[in-house]
Amino acid sequence: MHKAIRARLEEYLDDPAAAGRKFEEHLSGCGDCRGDLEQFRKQSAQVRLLRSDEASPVAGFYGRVMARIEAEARPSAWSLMHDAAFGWRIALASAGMALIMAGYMVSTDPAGRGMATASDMVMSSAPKNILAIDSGSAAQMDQARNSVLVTLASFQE
Amino acid sequence: MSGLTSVLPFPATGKPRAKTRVDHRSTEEAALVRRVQARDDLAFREIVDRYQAKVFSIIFGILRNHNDAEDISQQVFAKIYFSIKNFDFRSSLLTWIYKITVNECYDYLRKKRVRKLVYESDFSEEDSRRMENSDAVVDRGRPMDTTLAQRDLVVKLLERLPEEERTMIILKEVEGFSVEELSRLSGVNENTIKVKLFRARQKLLKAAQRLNRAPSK
Repeated sequence: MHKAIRARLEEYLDDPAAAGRKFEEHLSGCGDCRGDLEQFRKQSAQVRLLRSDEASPVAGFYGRVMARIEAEARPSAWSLMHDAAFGWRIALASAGMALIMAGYMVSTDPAGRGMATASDMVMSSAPKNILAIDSGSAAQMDQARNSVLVTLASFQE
Repeated sequence: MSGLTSVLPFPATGKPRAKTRVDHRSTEEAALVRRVQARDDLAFREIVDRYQAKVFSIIFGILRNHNDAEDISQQVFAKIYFSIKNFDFRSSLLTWIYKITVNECYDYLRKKRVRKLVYESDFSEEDSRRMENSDAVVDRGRPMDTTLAQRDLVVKLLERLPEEERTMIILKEVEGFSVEELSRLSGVNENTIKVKLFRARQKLLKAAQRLNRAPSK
């Protein structure tokens, strides 16, 4: 679209008669601009379909707006979480609680023993120990078998 | 409104090229805004009374449903109430209100679409296909109301514009503001308004062409 048309496009779309003589002259000799202008004119008419003349809210609108504002202004449990100061307080309280719990567990827990017992159990069931137990009992069995054989061989009536 | 730096050279129109920026701080409207910022409920009521019809008619023009228009209008004024403390007088109050209004409409449409998608995801693939086909019949066959279908199309096309251009096109074409009025409202010179409108119109045309070229399912 040429500058001469682009410059007066809005005036033309508002009122074709207001576009001016130069605009008309250019248009009569320029097919491209005529084509483009037609597209813009159709588009403008389409967008104007969104115009609505009769629409207005029913009476008491201000009251309903204020009711909504009051409802939105009322703090909810979740909105409290968005408050930075409140969030910090919650975080500090949680950290303090965790420290107290940890201190209590370390100082009072018979856990020291419980845990040691548990670790002993774990240690005793380690593969190396299992092998040691197994190899020990195998040797005992061998020894018993040998002594039986010796007894049998040396048996004399 | 932003984007003042992106001014394209525009041919002379015989009128002065640029008008001085309007000082939105010293108007009667600015005094009203300051009263609302100071939490004067009477001043807020005056704003609601002054703009409710305009806000409602824009929303109704886009959504075409009285209940939705009422709901979004309330939302717009609630938003104005809570965020007017941040209003910086760079544009007129009316432009700011219109911007909020148009944004709320498109937020609503976006949410509605997401809700629809979530709802449809509960269907089996077969159900979804059947539904899609039935939509296509309504959209591309013989719509019961051509004007309604055309309005729908315009709303969808406007959705593809950047926020500022969309608001400007709606103010110009739907609300009937002239370029001069838009310039006064936004504090941007007339040539810049024309450039922005021209760009918006070009984008709308391209969006429409893309939509027409898109293969029908």
